[in-house]
This record gives sequence, structure tokens and C-alpha cells, in this order.
Amino acid sequence: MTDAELVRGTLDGDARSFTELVDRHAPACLRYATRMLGDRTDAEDAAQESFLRAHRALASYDAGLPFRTWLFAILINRCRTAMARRAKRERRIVVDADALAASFSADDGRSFELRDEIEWAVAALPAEQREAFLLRHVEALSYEEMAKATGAGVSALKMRVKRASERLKILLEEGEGAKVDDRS
Amino acid sequence: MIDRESKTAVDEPLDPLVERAAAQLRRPESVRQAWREELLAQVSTPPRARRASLRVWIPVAIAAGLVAAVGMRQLAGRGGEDRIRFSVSAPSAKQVSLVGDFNRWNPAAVPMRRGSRDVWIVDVRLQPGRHVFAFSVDGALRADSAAPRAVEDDFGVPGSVVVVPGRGSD
Repeated sequence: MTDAELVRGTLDGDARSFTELVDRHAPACLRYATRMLGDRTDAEDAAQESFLRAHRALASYDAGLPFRTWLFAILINRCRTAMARRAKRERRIVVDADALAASFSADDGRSFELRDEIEWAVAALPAEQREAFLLRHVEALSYEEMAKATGAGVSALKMRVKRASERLKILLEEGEGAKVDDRS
Repeated sequence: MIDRESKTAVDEPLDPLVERAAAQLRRPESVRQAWREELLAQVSTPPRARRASLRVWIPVAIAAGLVAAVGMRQLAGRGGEDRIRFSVSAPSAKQVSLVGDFNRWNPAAVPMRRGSRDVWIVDVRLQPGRHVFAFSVDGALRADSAAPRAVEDDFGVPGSVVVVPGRGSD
């Protein structure tokens, strides 16, 4: 069953249809929000709020747009709002690796060192570049979908992705260099 | 692969180091059962039915040749049925443009000119149908407070709706 059919089913009162939409899209939403916000709890809040907003606005969903793009547009906005709220609340910028690493919870069995290094590098990107990189290279949205979801132009998005990739390379190489230095 | 819009490569291949990082970032996040149940409990009632009335008042007004002047914006048929005047008050802005699904949200496509009393204006010819638009004011998107809000507004893109009737509809 397609997403559009599930939307129709939800509007017709079939709660299982929306459950299916949640089960299909929640993993990607949580992944994007977690990578974007660097905090699992904030990510869950943003993702949950996104699904609730989507549910409320479902009657106005235009099936000409992929449901995933529509949902991500909501999620992107929720993440932006979460970052703005956090900045207002904390009035501080985490710049050192130790403090940043402390903001990530070690709640699974992944390689902490690798995850920490990559997430540190991603978190060090400007928000617009991080957003564009994650949408393109992690969530695999097309540039046209990204433009619809973010409100930015395709050319601007391409430039953000390019700059993010270049910056990430530098940051990751710095991390690699630091490891070599540690061993020597 | 060439993109027609920007004439540049769509995607350069990622550096191997960055690609490894991207692969790591693509690893799925688990969905906590409690999170899922809490979410589904909040959507136990069906969403509201579609409200059609909101979408018809503008085409009716245009078809009747009326000028909808609300706040600082005017919307009117001018000459041809498809020509729409957009205006927005932005006294401190340096650059304002009209963006929407009709120009792929490109802020360089339809610049607006500053008129009297710091009202920025542009006349555009739109295809019949429903269009979502916004104003790009010094790079920031702003919905038109005088027009119906687009559903897209609720999912991240500030937007307003204009509906241009077909030639046979008036």
C-alpha cells in the first residue's frame, strides 16, 4: 500500500493506516533528528511533534508531493525550532570535544570512538550545512525534494552540501591525524 | 550528469573518508516502543475533514474582478485573467523577491521593485491552478499574512496560497 493510500485510509478513520505511516517513517525521522540535534531526547520530541502536526494537517496533504518530503519538511522545521529554543535556553556554544561528547548518550553497542568522532564533526558544521548534508547523503533526498522541504533553492542547497563535505573532510582528517599523534 | 538549473554537476562523489562517515550516519536509529505508543495514543481520533471553503474564496474574488486589498497586499486580475499583483510592506528590506512553486522557490527569479511607502511590488502571470508562494525578504521567507496560509506553512516553509482560475471559469 502506498503512502498516499495510507493517508487516505487515515482520513477515512482507519487508525491502522497512520500507525503504518509512523512505522515506515519514524526510523528515518529519528535518525535525521538525532544527527541534526545531537541529542536523542530532543530528537524524539521533535519527531513526535512532527508526526502530530502531520496528523493534524493530513487533510491538506497534497498527494503530488511524496509523503516523506512533506513529513521531512515538518521535521526540519521542528529541528530548527528545537535548536533555536536550545540556543535561547542555554546561551552557550559547545565548542570543545569533551563537552560535545558528553552530550551524546552511549545507549547502544556501536563503536563509541568512531561514532563520537563522526558526530563531533557533523555537529561542528554550521546548521544549514549539516541539514543539507544529512538530507542529501544520509536520507538520500533529491535536491528537488530538499528544496521543497527546506524552502531553500536547489543551487544554494548544492553549495551547502559541497561546503559541508569539504568541511567534514577537514574535520575528519584532523581526527585521523590526532589518532596518529596519540599513537606516536 | 548536468542539472539544467545550475549547469553544474548534480553531485560530486564524496571523498572516501566522508563517505565512510556518511555510511556510519546512515545506520538506523531504533524506535522505542514507549515513544511509539505515546505518539499513537495522541492520534487516536481521525484528523479533521478537508475544509474546501478556504480554497475557493480567492478564485471567486478574482473571477468577479474584485480587488482583495487586505493589509499591505493587493491581489487582482489585471488585464488578462492570469496576471496577479503581489505586494508586501518591507520598509527596511534591501532585496525582496517573490518565490513559490511556480519558480521553484528561486529568490533570484522574480525580484520585486520598491514602490511608494516602502511597498514592494511585482506583477506576474501565473498558470491557472493553485500556487503556494512567499516573499523572500533579504533572504528570509515570509508568508503573506493577508492570504490563506498554505498547508506547507505547517511543515516548515512559510507559504500562502493563491488560486488562479482557468480561462473558462469566469
